[in-house]
Formats: sequence, structure tokens, C-alpha cells
Amino acid sequence: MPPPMPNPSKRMTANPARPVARYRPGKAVQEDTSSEEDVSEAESEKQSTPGPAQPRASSFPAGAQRRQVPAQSARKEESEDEGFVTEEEDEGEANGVSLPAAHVEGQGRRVVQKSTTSAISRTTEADGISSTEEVGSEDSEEDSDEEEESSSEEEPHRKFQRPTFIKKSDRGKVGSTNADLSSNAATNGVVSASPAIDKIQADELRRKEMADLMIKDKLERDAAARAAGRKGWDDDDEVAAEDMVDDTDGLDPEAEYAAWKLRELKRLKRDREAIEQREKEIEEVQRRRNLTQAEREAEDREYLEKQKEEKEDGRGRAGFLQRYHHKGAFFQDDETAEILRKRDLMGARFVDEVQNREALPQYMQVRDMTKLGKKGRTRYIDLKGEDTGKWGQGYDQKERRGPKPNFDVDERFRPDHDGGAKGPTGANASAVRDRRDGTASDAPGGPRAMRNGDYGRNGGEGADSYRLGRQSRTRSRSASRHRDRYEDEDSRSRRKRGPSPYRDRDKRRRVDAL
Amino acid sequence: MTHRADASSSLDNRGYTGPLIRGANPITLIETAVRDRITESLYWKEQCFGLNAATLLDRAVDLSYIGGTYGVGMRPTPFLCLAFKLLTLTPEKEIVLEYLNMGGEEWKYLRALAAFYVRLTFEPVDIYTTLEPFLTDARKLRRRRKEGYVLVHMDEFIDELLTKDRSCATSLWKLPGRQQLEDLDMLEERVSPLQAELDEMEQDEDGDPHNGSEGGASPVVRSSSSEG
Repeated sequence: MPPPMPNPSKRMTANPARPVARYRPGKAVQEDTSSEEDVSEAESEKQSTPGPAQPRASSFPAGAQRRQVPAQSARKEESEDEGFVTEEEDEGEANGVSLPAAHVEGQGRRVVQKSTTSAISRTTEADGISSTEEVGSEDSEEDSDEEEESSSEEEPHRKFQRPTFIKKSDRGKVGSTNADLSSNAATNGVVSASPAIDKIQADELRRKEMADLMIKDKLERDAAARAAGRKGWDDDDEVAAEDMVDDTDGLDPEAEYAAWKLRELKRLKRDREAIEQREKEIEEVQRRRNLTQAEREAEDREYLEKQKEEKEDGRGRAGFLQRYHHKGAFFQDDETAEILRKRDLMGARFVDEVQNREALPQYMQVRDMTKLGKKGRTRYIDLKGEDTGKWGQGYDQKERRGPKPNFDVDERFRPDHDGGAKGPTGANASAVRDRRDGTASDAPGGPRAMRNGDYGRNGGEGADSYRLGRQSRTRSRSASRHRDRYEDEDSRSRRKRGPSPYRDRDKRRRVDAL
Repeated sequence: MTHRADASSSLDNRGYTGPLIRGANPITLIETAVRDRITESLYWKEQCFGLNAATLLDRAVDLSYIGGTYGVGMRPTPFLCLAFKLLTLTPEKEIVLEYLNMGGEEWKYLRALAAFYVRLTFEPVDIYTTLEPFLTDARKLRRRRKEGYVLVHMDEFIDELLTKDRSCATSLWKLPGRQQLEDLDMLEERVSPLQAELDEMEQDEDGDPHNGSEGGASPVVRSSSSEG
């Protein structure tokens, strides 16, 4: 046989759904009848053969073991196979027997409803008529079904009803009702006359009524809310009625009229002022047209000066290398525009910010104070500090005067030349005599007189003006010139070898050689 | 043009063939962001579906505050939703005037709604001539701002419509100033009922003989308690 499908209403454990009733000495064990109900639900009109060999209508005083055994076996078998009638009957048998004993003992502590129904069914069965049995089983079915339904209404997972306490005075009625029910059971299908059952149903009725009432209340409230004008989409913002702005008119007609008058007058005034403003503007324009150009300019300048003054007085200076922050040119309301206009962005500074950077030692004159003392600090201050040139001077000025003579310094420390050092400086500053264009002029034995003449010519004009001398001479290196010189100075022209370096070794100025 | 229950014919701008306001789809008078908020709001979807000019009145009389958008999420007020519905419906001029005059007598929020619509859609001269009489109406209105509710009066609201650039989450299209229209002789000067008083006041101040124009009858103040 395939394994049985797991019963969803049962737990997954092998434990019984409800623990077995405790055995108390001298008292009959209260069997729980949940298994019974399941079986009764599941069964159809089947009648199966009695399983374990148990005498049916035995008035045997039930012992604990006997009862438990069949119960457990019933449960086990039940778990395996639904639809066995025998267990129920057996159990019912046992229960039926046990119950009167319980009542006789006067326990009444717990009256299990199901046991009463089972008692009913058992009593019917005890009549011993198979038909009634069947009917009884039907009844029991239906009873248990009914109870099952009602119980399932309350707690779908429990298989039995919650036991209700019955007072001692009421307890006797159970037996009597049983007797009644037994007579009625055959006739009526539905049995609901027991007071306990009644109570349940009464409870349910009450609960239903309560639920109905609540629903009605809610509906009424909704309707009222809607009538009061609160819309469903406004539910999330609840404003108390007192906080809500009151817009009822006619509360104080006088005051309202006065307020209105005030507003209207203000509006009229505003209009009037606008008109006057326009007229003034037109006047101003007219007036300016009548002025001359110069006067207009003068006025403009005045106005601009005044504006600048105001601006500069009003605002602080930006700190050292502070970023220029523009307040933004987006759309602004009138009020925000006013506030922003007054605000001084560039002059705003922190409390401990340095105002006068020059007063700090140079080590601290940096843009970012956090870098002081740290390894990565560079000595860079700004671009201007790095510039070695004259920063833009000299491009459009004409340096006629040259550097200004600095008289603050001692005479020894003044520069050598005032302004005339246009020529090579430094190592190149020694006076070099003019370059000889040709080669023959360097003949050692050349006509000294001539050479002296040359020298004299050169030297006479002084070392400083050798360039002038040079400049006075044409510098053409054309062959024609060479040829001329050749002819002038034959000695040179007859030189066989090139100029010797020994003669020209000393290129310094030979003043004495003059 | 078939009248469709929802506003889809005007919301989608591509195939719009309905009446134009100043050459454009009327709903473009409201900005896109606000428009999206409106069409996604519960009030629009629930209450503004399938309204026509007559059934809109049912909604309008249920209004309890004016305003544009409120809250952090820019939720539109029912007032704005109804105004948007009016823009999609574009009722005729007479209907709107009825809203303003007759309906507005009894329901002030309806009047505010109609005034808003007038300000958006009418011609400048008509705007001035239509709205200025209501500067005498001093009823209280509840206005919902971003943070909470504020009390405002009908004449203040209309004045705001006539002078300010933005109101109720919409930038009102640029209205030429009254002065300009007067200079162009399209409008006459406004005569306020309080003119006489104003002139008296000025007379007392300046001592100049002002030729005060004849002030009209004493202003009519709606003192009847009206529904919200």
C-alpha cells in the first residue's frame, strides 16, 4: 500500500494532538474524543466490521488500560486509515460507559461536550437496534458535524470544543437532557437542545450582533465624515478643528468691514504711488535730456561713486585667496531678493580667521593653515611670488630713463653702470677689440703705423665706444671691401700664412700700445 | 470633438485639436511638474473623472480651501485639481461668468476657482473688468500653504491674481499692467468705492483740493455666512 497522505489538520509529530488525560485514582479517565470526531467526519455511511475484538455493549467498569489502549490504537489506526467506523464505536462504547461513572462520582469538573454527544450516540446505540444505530450514527455524525462546524468556526485547528463550566445545580440536567435527546434523536436530525450548546450558539449570535454593530458604526462614521466635508484622500493629514483656520464669515461684521477698508485703502495707495513713481521717472528723463553731456557724465560718476562707497563700506574684504562666491542669479521672490542683497558673502569669515596676513611670520603666511608643520608643505604662496620677471612691466612702457639710481645704498654697493650697460654683461663684459674682418690684417710685421692708426682709431675712441667704432664702420664682408683693404695695406695682402694666434692672444685692450 | 470622460484628449499634446488659449493647449498654462502631480493624485483620479461643467459644481461646492500644492511631496489641492479640470474642459465664457457671479454669491470657493480660471484664460481687458468688482468682496478664505493653513480674504486673493506673478503653484501669464492699458485707452481708470474717503484723507494731509471722483455707493460687504 502506498504511504498515506499527510493529514493537514494533524501535526507532524507522532504525539497525540492532545495529551492523554491524566489518570487520577478513583476517577474515571476522561477520554478525549478528537479522534472520534475526525473519524466521524470522515466516514460516510459505512459500517465496517468491528476491528479489535471488543464486546460491544459491555457494562464492564472500564479500566484505564482498556480505555487507553483502544484510544491509542484508535488514534494510530486513525492516523493510518480514515474512515474506520469501528474505532469510533468502540471508543464511544468506552466513553459511554465512562461517562455515567463520571457523573455518578459527581465530578463535573469538566464536561466535554463531545462526550455528551458521544453519550447520546452511545445511548442510541445502546438500544441495540441496528437501524437506530445507523440513525444514531447518522445523528452522531450530524451532531458531531454540527459541533464540528461550530467548533471549527471558533478554532479551526482544535477538534473539540472549549469546555464550559457547569454549576453543580445545573449538572443534573445533563442526564435529563440526554434522556430527552435520546427520544428526540430518532426524530430530529439536528440536536441542539443541550444548554451548553445553546450557550455556544447564544455566544455566537451575540458576537455576530456585535460585529454588525461595529460595522454599522464604522459606516455611520464614514458617512458623517463625508458629510462633514473631509475627503478620504485627506485622511493622512488630520487637523484638529480648533487648529483649523476658521473661514466663517459674519462673525464680526464691523471688524470685517474695517479690515476690508484698510486693505482697500492700502491697495489704492499702492496704485497711487506707482503712478507717482512713473511720473517722477518721466520727469527725470526730461531733465536729463536738458542737461549737457558733461553734466550727465558728472552725475553718473557721482552716482557710481556713491554706490561703490556704499558697497565697499557695507561689505568686508575677502580673505586671502578666498574663493569668489557668487550668490546666484536664479529666480527669487521679493523677500528673498532683499535678504540676499543685504547679505555680504565675500566678507563673511570665521571667528578665528586671519585678518591681516602680513602680520604673521612668513612661515605662517599660507593659504591653508592646516599644512603648517607638516611634511608635505611647499613654500609656494602664489604665482606672483614665483615670478622672477617684472610681472608685466616693460611691455608698453618705454625705458628711456633706465633704472633709477638708488641713493639709499652706499657708494660701494651701487651698480657699476647707470643705465648704459646694454652690451654683454658678466664674463662677456671685457672690452674686445673689433673683429677684423679679413685675415691679412693680422700680419705681425705689418705696417705698425697703419695698425697703430687702426688701433689708434679704435683706441682713441675709448673702450666703451668700441662698438660705436664698429658701428661706424660698415660691416660688409663683401669681397670688394676686402680687396680694397688688400690694396691699402700691401703687407697684409702679401701675407702667406693665416693670422697667427700668438699675436692675437691677448685680446684685451691695449691702451698702452697706443 | 468627442467629449471624453477623462482628460486624455487634452493631456496628450500631440494630437490636440481642442480650443486654444493664446495659441496653445490650455493645460500648458500649468507647469509640467505640477501637471504630473495633479494627474497622479487620488482626487483627480477619483473625483475629477467624467466631470462636465455642471457636475463640476458638485465638486466645487465641496471645496474647503484654496491653494496650490502642499506638503513635502507637492500634493495638489482639490482646488488646483478642479482648476485643471476646468482648463481641460474649457467651458464657455458665459458659464464661467455664471460661476463667478451667481454661483459665487453663495459659494465663495467657487468664486475663487472661477476667478483663477478667468485670470488664466481671459483677455487682459476682460480680466480687469471681470475681476475688479470682486475687490469689494471681503469673505474669508482658507488657504493651504506648504506648512499649514492661512487665512486670506477674497479681495486679497483677487488682488494677488491681478498683481503677482505666481499664485497657487502656477505662474500666471504676464498681465500687462493697468497703467499700460489705461495709456492705451483700452481701460478706464478704476473707481474704487472708497475713492471719496481716500481723497478726503489726502485732502487732510496735503491740503490740496483734490477733485475726487465720485465714489460709488457704499461698498457691499458679504456678511452672510456662506458655506465653505
